[in-house]
Amino acid sequence: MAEAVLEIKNLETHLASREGAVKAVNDVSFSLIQGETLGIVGESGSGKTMTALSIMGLVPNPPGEVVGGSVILDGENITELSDSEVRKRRSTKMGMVFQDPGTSLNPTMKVGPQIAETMQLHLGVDEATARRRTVEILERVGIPSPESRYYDYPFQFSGGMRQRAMIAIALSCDPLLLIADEPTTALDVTVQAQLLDLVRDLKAERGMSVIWITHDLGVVAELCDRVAVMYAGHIVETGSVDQIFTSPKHRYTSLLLKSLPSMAKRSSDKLTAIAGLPPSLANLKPGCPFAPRCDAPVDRCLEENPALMEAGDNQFAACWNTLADGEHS
Amino acid sequence: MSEKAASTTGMEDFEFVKQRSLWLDALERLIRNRAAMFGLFICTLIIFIAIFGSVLAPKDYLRTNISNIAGGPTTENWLGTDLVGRDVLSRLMHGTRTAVFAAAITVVLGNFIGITLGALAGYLRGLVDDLIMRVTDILFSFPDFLFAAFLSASLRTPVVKLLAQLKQKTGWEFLDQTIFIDYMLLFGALAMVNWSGTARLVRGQILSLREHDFVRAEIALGMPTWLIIRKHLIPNSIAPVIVGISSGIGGILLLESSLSFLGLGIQPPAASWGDMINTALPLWRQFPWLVLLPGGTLAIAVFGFNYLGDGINDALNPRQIQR
Repeated sequence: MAEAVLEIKNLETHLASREGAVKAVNDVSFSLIQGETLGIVGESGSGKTMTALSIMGLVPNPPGEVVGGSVILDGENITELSDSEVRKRRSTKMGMVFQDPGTSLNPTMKVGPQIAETMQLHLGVDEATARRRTVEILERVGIPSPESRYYDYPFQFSGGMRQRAMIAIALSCDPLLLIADEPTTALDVTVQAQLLDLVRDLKAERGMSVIWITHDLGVVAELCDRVAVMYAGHIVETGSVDQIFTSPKHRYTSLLLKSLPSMAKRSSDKLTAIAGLPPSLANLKPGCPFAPRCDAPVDRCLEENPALMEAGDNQFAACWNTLADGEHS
Repeated sequence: MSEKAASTTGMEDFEFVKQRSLWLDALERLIRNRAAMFGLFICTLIIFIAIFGSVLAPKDYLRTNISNIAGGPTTENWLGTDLVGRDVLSRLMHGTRTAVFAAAITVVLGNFIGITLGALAGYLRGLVDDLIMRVTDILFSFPDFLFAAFLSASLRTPVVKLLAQLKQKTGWEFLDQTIFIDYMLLFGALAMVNWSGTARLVRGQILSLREHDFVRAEIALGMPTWLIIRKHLIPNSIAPVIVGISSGIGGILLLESSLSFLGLGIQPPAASWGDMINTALPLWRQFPWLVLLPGGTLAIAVFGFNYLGDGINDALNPRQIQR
């Protein structure tokens, strides 16, 4: 077993609000080995992005704060480092790609220098070297004729090209870990497919680990090795892509999969929806947060919040009434 | 493919094709604007006279001639002479220098202070923001003009003392010349009333910019704060500041003249349009051209800078990019 690049233990991130602390990330633990891709899926507000920001040390403060747990990246606990130390780790050890490529580039700065700037700062290379490497990396992420595009402004790039440029910036300093926060949501499906291919190739080439945050289960199936399903700030189930898609153990995962359209279904079949809404994270009741919406709750669900329990070979689910093998269909 | 590979191996083989930039687009829109071009022409002319005025001036602007007081236009003195017989044209040219000098230095100084403090306030927020913004509030609560007058009047004595001491230490002769002291006080006073508007403008811009994704992305890339402010926030907030500068120059010209008119700015014998109006005003019924000439020049200059400022405003306005 390869050594873990990233190890997160009992991470707790709270956001201050008028109704009290919102537990946006609640006792989240997972680890990532080199070259592995972890997909984090969940509804809006389930804590996916806050988990990513906690790893990057970017939780907006105020109102947010990492209140407990540890994030160990390459042997160092990020949560204990000073701000300036964490800043040095960004780009060189962890890079992040944001959701909206339209606004993620500085509109008044040319694309090439924007990428070169990061390298000059973190790798200490001179301008000419940075420019050469920028052109190489732009070519690698699939920008046609990168020399002539070097001095283009972001508004001269299409959405897909901007996201490619964002990936180029994130990769410019060879990070161990790439965190992608719904990077393809704002793009159309063809461009999305191209970008997924690109990330898969780059990952294989550079041996980096990737955390891919999305609510698109199709993307997860396409790209990821492992999946973590989040609900109400908790990870409710983790397992390999195969396990999650073919034999989910948590009832939320199962219901989530059933709500997907599929080619096997006929157009007259209605998609199943999960009734109800996610709970408010400011005042969580005791018991499983999913219990009110669950299709088969047991008494214990309302009393005690289950921890992740082994539910299969390297598959864990936080559920008192896990699905039996073959129950998910 | 092999050609491509070859082109990425050596630096010198690169041919970076420069494409039309934001600024080039803006420039093109500016050139198509006739009023702005007219303004630009006036501004260029004025700046040209300011720089080369002392060479171009037909007469010595300080030399008096008691035998030709308030004389009309002659071949000798094209625009006549003033109340002590000095050549009006030469004094106007030197006044141009004062006006442009005052405007340029005030703008540079005032906007430097304004942009720096505004950016700090907007980015750091909290206590720094409160402190800086309360100071600008206080400055805003004074009438501009009164504040500048107050500054230049009350600071004269300490500045004169300070400069005299400096002169003793350094031995630089120019330090206690009245013209130099006048300029110092005038620029200082004008810059002090000038920065608060810019500071507010930049702060507002940066408050909204700092929430943009690209700033978050820069933070996520590990950029230090000062680099983010300098390379990403300020360039993005600079367009309205440029407009503010070009349309504000007219106001500064007026303010300088008004101060000199009240005897608080440039003192005679140095030349300033405001001072020229001031000296001639009591006798305007007899010698109206002595008031009209500097007044008209001032009006044309203010018009020119305002037209140019308006044009730059239109050119930089992103909503007009689609034509």
